[in-house]
Amino acid sequence: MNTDRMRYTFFVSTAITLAIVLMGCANPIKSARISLATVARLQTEAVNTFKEYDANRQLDIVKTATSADAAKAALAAWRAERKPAVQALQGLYLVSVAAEKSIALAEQGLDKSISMASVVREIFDAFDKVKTILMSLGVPLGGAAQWK
Amino acid sequence: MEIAGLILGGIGKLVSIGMEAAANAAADNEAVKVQLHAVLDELKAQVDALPSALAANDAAADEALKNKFPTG
Repeated sequence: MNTDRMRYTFFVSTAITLAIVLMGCANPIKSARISLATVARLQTEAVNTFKEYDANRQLDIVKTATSADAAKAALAAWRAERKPAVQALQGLYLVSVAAEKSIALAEQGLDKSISMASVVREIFDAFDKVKTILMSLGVPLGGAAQWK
Repeated sequence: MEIAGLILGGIGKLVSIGMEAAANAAADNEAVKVQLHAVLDELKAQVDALPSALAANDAAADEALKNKFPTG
């Protein structure tokens, strides 16, 4: 083996090794999954907070009502008002599942057009919309409200 | 010859480090995937239970209403 060939082999091997190490460190697929898991955790928290808020809100309505009819009307109004939040939370779960499917397709190389940045942005935007609905209902989202 | 041996040894070492890094990255990816699936399963369980939880809230409120206004 002559010196030039050895030098060439050495540099190529070093470049391949560095590429593999860098790919391991900055893996967009892994980052997208971590972001999605964070959003999914916040969604779970939002669902639980919403359930608790609904229970308290309904009991407060009954507690402060001055007549049975007024309580019934206020309860019916609240139950209609909360419907979009329920639909949004159910829809958000579907968005999360679709995001994970996109990530899996990209990982397997089955769809090369999928961008991890857009998958993450999509799920963040969907969560923002749900946050807006829940906050308009007065649901205290705590840390999730500030999170973006 | 000694230099050639050192260079070849270095290449071998670098390749083994690279392969180890790739194997670690693959294992790490798999762990993140498993973790995400667990989080999504938990979310699914909560979302699926949402309608029945709200129905239970409705029933509790209706019950409280009956207790507060027995004749209403």
